[in-house]
Amino acid sequence: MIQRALLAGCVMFSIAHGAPPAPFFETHCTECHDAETKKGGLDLTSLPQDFANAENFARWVKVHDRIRAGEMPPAKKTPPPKDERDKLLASLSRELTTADTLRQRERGRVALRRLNRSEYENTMRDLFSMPGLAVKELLPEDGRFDGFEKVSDALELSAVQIRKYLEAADYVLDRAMVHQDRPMVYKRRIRRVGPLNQMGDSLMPINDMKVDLVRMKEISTMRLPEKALVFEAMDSLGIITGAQQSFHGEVGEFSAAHPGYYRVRTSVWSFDYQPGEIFPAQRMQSFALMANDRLLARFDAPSLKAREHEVVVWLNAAERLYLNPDSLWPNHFNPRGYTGPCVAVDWVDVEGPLNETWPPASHRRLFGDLPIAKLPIEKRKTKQELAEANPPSRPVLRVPPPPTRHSEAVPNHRDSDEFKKNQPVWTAASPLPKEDAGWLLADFLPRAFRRPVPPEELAEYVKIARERLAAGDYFESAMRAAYRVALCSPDFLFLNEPPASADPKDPMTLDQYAIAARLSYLLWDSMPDDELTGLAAKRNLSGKEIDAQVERMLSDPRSDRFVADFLDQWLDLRKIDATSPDVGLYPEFHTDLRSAMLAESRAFFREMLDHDLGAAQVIDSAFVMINQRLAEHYGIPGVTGSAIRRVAVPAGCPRGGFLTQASVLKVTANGTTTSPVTRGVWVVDRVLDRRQQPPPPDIAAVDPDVRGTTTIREQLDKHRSNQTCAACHAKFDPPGFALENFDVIGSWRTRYRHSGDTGDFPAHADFPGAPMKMNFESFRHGLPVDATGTTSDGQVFQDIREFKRILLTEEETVARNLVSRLVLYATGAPVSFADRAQVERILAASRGSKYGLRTIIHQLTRSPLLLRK
Amino acid sequence: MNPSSAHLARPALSRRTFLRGVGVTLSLPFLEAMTPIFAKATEAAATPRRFVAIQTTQGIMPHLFFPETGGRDYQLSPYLQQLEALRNDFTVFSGVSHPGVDGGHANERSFLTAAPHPGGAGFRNTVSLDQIIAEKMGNQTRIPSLALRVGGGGESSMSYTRAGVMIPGERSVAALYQQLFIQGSAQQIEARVNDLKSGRSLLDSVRARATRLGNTIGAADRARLDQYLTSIREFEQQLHQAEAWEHKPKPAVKMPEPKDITETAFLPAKLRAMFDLIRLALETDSTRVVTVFVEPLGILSAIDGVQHETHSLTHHGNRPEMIEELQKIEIAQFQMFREFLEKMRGAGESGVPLLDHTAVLYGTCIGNANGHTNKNWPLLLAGGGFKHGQHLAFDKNQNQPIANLYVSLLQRLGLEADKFASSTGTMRGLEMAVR
Repeated sequence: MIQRALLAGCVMFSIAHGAPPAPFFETHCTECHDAETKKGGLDLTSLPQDFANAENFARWVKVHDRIRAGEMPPAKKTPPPKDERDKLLASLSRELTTADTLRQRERGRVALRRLNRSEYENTMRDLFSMPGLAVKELLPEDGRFDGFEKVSDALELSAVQIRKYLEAADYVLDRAMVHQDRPMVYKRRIRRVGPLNQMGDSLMPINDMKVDLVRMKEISTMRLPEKALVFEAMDSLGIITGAQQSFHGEVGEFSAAHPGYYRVRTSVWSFDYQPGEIFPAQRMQSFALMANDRLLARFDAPSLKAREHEVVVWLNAAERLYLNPDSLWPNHFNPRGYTGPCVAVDWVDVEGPLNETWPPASHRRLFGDLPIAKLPIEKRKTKQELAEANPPSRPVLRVPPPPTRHSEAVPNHRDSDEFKKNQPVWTAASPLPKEDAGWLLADFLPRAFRRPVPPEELAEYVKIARERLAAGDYFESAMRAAYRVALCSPDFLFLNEPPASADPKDPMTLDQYAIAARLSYLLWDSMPDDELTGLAAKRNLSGKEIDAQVERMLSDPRSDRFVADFLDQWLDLRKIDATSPDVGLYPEFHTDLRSAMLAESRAFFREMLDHDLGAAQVIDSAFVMINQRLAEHYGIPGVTGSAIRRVAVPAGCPRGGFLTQASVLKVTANGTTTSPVTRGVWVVDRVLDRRQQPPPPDIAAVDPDVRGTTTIREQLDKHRSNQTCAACHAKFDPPGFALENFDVIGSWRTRYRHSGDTGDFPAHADFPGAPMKMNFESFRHGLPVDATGTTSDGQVFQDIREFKRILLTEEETVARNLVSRLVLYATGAPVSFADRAQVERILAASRGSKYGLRTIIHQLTRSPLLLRK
Repeated sequence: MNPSSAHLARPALSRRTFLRGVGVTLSLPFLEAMTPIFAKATEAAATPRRFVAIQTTQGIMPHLFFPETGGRDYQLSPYLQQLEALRNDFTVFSGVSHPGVDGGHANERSFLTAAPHPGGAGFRNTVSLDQIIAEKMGNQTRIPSLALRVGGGGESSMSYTRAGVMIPGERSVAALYQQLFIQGSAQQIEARVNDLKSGRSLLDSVRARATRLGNTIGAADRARLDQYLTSIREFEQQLHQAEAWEHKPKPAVKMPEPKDITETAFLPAKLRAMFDLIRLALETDSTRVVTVFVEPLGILSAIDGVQHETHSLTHHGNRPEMIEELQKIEIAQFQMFREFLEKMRGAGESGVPLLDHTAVLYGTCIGNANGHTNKNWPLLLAGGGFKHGQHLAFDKNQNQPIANLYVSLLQRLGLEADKFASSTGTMRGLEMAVR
């Protein structure tokens, strides 16, 4: 065909240096990818070789990648000779790398990136030493790329954010400043856990190791104030219900009147209850200590013998404490007929706030060591005074007082509402306001901006404060105006990463402060601390010193944020609550299992970090990180207590690695059914870094059915018999099939649970810790699970154990995926074409440790990817 | 949803009054927004046109929603029977969806934007229909637009700015009422105006700082910083407008200040409270653009005969008893919707029922929640000055783009538009009524 020959001659590739063999395209590609057929929307005859254009560049990368992967030309065509193909790939790759490197040299890899909401929150927490501060939810959700909220290009900004930044800055400043003298320390022994009206029902007084049934009857008819007295007089409080929406175990009427650290001590135990009688517990129980919905700690309750626990925790103002025995099964029945596991609480001691200094650290961040003093009470203003424009603003109390509903929490407390109403306001007292404004801002701004602040920039802020002072503002109000601007300025909100401009040969080497911030936002999800900033000031952040800092930072508790945040985004663990398992089909799913799931994955990643375990552990490991609840869930014997610990995987047990962790299995299912397609696509994407195209638009979806008459595989088989579907499904269905042995909460199954009327009911013994009288007839075991399959390259597997062995042959792919995700997470931009060589370098350098996670982090933090803009 | 969080009241956050005054939502481009603030209100047609979009995220069971036949004499489906008295005030659609918009629940983000593949790795949202309308008409009312939400935790709405940023949804009817109808004392007004002024002076300072920063950074960085500067400028206009409105008296209404219902289980009651306030906001011309994001997921509804949390019900796996429970929830929602439409028909200005000038879109982006499909959306349009009383049935396999309906809506609102995202024209078969 003449026309085709002419067009092929126009393939624009041959022009550049290195002269890539245009005939290659002519021979192997343009039959389908020309202007006429344009298969897959690609016309190679007119695709310009203009690599500066991002869209063209991306298309050429795709051409390169598909040829390299052997996907093109397609299998039904004659494969190109190897040397021709290699030559083409080498030259194409050279061209693309050159173009990409040029772009990076001019613009850097990453454009100015704003903090995402979690970085914003952590930065505020660290800046003001208020570890419980919750501001994330005040801000609009962030744009994502590939599941990550760290990518500069996806972190868009609108007016709505500016408004929210103002609100959030005020919210933080309100809480950082104090307006009163040192508060009295609240210190009390509390004996009531749970609501007053439950006393006599699911709450039972225990005296001399006996539940007094006669007394119980009396209590049930008492009025509430009388019940309150019973709480005070008993030895211990027995609780027979937990883990359900309606029982949370509020600790008395306590709510924190002030933000700060509080000491919480408690003494708890467990027993098996039969009306009136206490027997040794069959199973260790545990309590979750919560501050509203934040999990603070877990306390084990051993059989009959009380165990004391003590923690020091941060509480926000007005937060309440809950001691929720969520390892107990919910008891929906009449508590009086209950037999089964129970817990007991002897007492809960609460003491705080434990302020070492007053004003607290948050206040001192803003006002240094200036004393606080009473403001004179102003007399009510006249109308005329009000009419005057711009009256000087006076510090006012903005923080809401503790909810009045709980005001009895602090009966003799001088901070009660009644007391406060007539009190003067305290505020930072400054003898030399103009001078004080100067040095306070000189201290604050470099911390907030994470770099030195030149005098002229400082002067801008000092001017704001001084102007307000001149207008008659109180010192605090004037300073607040300047701090507010600082916290809404681009210097605070953005990670400015200027090149150091020291090395003309490598103009994109980052400035030392930017390197400090890269390290801290990678490993702490927050601002650098004084040590990092100090090293940056001495220009010491390079080579071995970076290694030492990484070691130090990973051993700091702040690195837990990295572990949780990275996994939330990489493995979608933030979706853990996106669906609620169907209560009929999965009656054993309770909050203790949910929180153990998250804890397991985090502990596993931490174990990989701590012991430099290799990428293969992502697929399979000889150990698991579990507690008692997960051990029961996984059928692993001999684990007692709620603490997560390392346990060897018993022979034949399919667990080990991330894929078979309950958290991952839960986020890849909905609350009712699993789909091998959803899970398969997830594995191929998240673990092997192979993106799948969305399904073609006109495909009929599978309608899940749990009536017990058909299985998802039978339904899918119909779908797969369609030729157009089969090609892609062959790639991602196999991992999904292999995971079919795991249900929506990640327990092992050989038969599907369903709600139909065939098959047998589960046995009571399948549910450790369930109340005696609970019957399990809300589901039946139905059709058998088929977890066998054949991979796209023809390897047959019988179940997940065999599939893992196949997957382990792709160790390097798994490691590359991990490195790529970490590069994106650490730098704010995905791996581009030119970055690939750096990724390979990191891989090569960590091969000796079998791609150990800690080695990878070290290699990454010394890589130009991290050290250059 | 965190299962343990549902019951816990979060401590109330102190919100700054000036920000309150700005309006719950808005994202105005500064140019149009700046044209005379009150002048247009009188210029515009005597009876302004308005737009309300309601999306319920858990799907609507299709077999109970879609009528079996098309045309004017279609048989009402079980759900549409709830709206029987309003039959001639709405059009029901079938065979419509956003082409290329998939991803199960992720789809809800694209309801009013039609941005493709919301579940995809590189997804970036685009501006939503309501914000486009607000850009054109928002400067004529106290509140340019409202992004509201009813249901579970979180802040989601379905309104997105030009940059594709989600505008957090307001869920408190009490706060809305305050904002719309409570004037406050002269002292309070003064304080709010002062706050607005101090907000503007803050913006002046950060802008100056950003401009200086812009001189020290490279081109790629500057592009990101420009977005910051643009946002500052937009927000400044919003403050400016809010200040101007602060001096205008707020409308007096008979309805007493509502209390927020904090118990998550009472979804219908919450819907009713929100709908009542929306009607009042429209009636008093406080705003003309409203979106309502209804999220029943994660809620165990306090409705007789409902024992399961709503999300797990939607994954009913074809179990009849689960379908029956879900049906009760969805019917309760339709009942609240009917009340809303009836009140909208009853209220009005210069003899024209409010409904006739208010286009109310109601639907879900999930064609069948059990299979999480995103085609064949259950969708209807009430009021707004169209010839209703029909079932517009399109091809179930080759869906009609909903964006066509959005173009029709824009045109009916008197805005120049011939294209919205994936549209291929206007909605076929939907004609404008005389008024």
